[in-house]
Amino acid sequence: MENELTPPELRPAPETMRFTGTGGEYFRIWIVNLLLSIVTVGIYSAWAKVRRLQYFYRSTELAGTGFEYHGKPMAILVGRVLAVLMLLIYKYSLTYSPALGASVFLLLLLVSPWLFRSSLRFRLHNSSYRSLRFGFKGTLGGAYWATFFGFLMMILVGVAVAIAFAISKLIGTILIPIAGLLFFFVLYPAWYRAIKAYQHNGARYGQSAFSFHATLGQYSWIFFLTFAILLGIGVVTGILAGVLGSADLIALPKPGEKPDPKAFAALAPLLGVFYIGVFLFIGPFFRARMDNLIWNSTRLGEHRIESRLSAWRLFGLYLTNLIGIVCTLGFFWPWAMVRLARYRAESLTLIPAESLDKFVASHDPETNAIGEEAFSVFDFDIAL
Amino acid sequence: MALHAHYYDGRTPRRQEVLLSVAESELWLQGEGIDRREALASVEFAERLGAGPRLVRLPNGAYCEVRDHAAFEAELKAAGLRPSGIEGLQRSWRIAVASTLIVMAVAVLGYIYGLPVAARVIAERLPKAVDRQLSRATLASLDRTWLSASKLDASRREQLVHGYQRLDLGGDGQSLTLEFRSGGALGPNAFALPDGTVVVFDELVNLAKDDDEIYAVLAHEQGHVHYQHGLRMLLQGSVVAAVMTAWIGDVSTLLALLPTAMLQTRYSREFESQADAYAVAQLRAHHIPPSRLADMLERMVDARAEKAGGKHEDGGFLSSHPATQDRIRLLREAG
Repeated sequence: MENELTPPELRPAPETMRFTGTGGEYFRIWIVNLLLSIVTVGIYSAWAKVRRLQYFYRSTELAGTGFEYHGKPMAILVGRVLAVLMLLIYKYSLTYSPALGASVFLLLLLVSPWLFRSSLRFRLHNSSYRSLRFGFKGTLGGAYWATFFGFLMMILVGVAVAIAFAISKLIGTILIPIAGLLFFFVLYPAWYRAIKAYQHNGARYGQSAFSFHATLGQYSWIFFLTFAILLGIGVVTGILAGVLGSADLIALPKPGEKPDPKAFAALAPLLGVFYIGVFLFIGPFFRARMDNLIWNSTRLGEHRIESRLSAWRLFGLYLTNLIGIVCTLGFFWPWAMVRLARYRAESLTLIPAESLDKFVASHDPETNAIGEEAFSVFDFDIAL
Repeated sequence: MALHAHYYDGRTPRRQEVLLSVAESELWLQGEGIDRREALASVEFAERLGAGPRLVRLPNGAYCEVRDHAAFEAELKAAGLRPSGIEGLQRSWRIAVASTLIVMAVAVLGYIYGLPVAARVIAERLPKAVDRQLSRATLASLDRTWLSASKLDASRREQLVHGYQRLDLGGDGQSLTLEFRSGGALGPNAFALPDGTVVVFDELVNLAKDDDEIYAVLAHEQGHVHYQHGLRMLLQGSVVAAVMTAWIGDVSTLLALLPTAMLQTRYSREFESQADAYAVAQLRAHHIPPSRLADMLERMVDARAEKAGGKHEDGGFLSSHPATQDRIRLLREAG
């Protein structure tokens, strides 16, 4: 859909994001806040988090203006304390009795969509650009639908296969690959998409709504490609092992024989190749493709967004960041984060449909930080 | 002296050029169609973070973005407003280097001294019910997975329990509760649970040349119980794991596992030698030569090497393990 009010020749030029921060700058902020967090037994970490977000927001510029984060440390601290309490209750109930632990887990699972929605609201309401706040208008029902529907569908397929097995082994065996394909290339991508659609369709900037237009087919294709690459890496590693094995460079354990630890040690470099391939390449590939799809399918009103992440460049960044972090025992972290933020920002472009000055503010009450903190502690990493 | 700033009114994203000045406890913004004065008390000056723009928050959502940091700081200073202490700390390389050194020192000292002391103090104060609950849960889960019922004769087991009680290793009449199990793939071994239960594997009983060797192993396990090693290990281990995950887990969870395992090895070595020292003292007091523990250890190592299929000369992992060899040597020196 093209905007009819502003003819193309009068539309503002596309604006690419810029990241102006540097690793050295962020290192100095990070280390002082880390030390203060240690000295205060973690209490200060809420202030540290606000600084971190403020630094990254302000350093990310669009059309010459930075973003701004407005979260209050006290709200984050309260959220953090509650999240830690929930975690402790869960851990303690688990050691006390597995049944109690399971019910606490179920309870947490049931409130997780609510936490998810609260965290989105808190994060977006506390973000602004050019004095206009972002916001989140997704409903609670929507959160439950997005998170639980796909989940239930997947369980349903599992149950269906189990029932088929109970009726006839043959039918069950035939159904397994079909259910597998359905699961990995339809149901799981659909679930993934539903959650992203909930996030992006609910987001606002001022009074303008974001909208999400990616199709299930596009999601399935990325899952399929990722799976194909995973398979490819597996095959290559397998062939390598076979070649080396037949050349007697390494001794593969034969079936029924006890593996020789020494021969296994020779397998280590091969496993290293596999590790780098799977964990370091699959991740960036999936992220690059998925982020591009997500942002290219997201609009703010009639404004479009373009994302051009390259899997190879992301792979290079991840690999060099990993080497840096390992070699410095973790102190490279701030540089690693800044390098990622810079690449991320520089690959995002806003393609305006009309002047950016035409947005209008909306006023909403503030939301609490509990949701967001619970999510970072329980590590439900749903957002990309 | 006024300085250039960008003004956003909180209602539209329009960027407006203004001149900002601070005078007589008021913030004054002047620009095209803008003449806004705000009492300083109602204005919030966001701290400076790096070279990025700095915010001046005004009532009702409007704000100013300032990029000329030097001029702005001079303006604030002239108005008697001082930056917060932390703002300066976050900019200094000297402070950053010092902080790095302190963080490293805290980590190293905490690991070597702090954590062991803290774990000991907490372990001493934990109610006994926790020990019992933990031990019961551990044994139950091991029974489900690795262990099976003992195949030893009931009379043999009773003989060992009585012999051990009569010996009264600790000298305080408080002996440990013995539980016999078949270790299966785990090979000859014995381990103590926090509440003072010692699980003895059939394989260990069968491997021992005589009962004194078994009592020597029990003396070692009693050392673990005496010093509450089980609980302390658990506490130390969870802290190390939590810290490592927080530190490097964001990069890779797999990557966090290796240093965690390495860091915990040091603790477990310390505990082993402490338990050995306890065993040496108790065995001597009961006229059993501590070298009997060394004999038993050697036999356990050999049995394990054999099981792993490793040839005896190059000894497999465990027997060439310096820690185990050191323990055997020290026990022999003790007589």
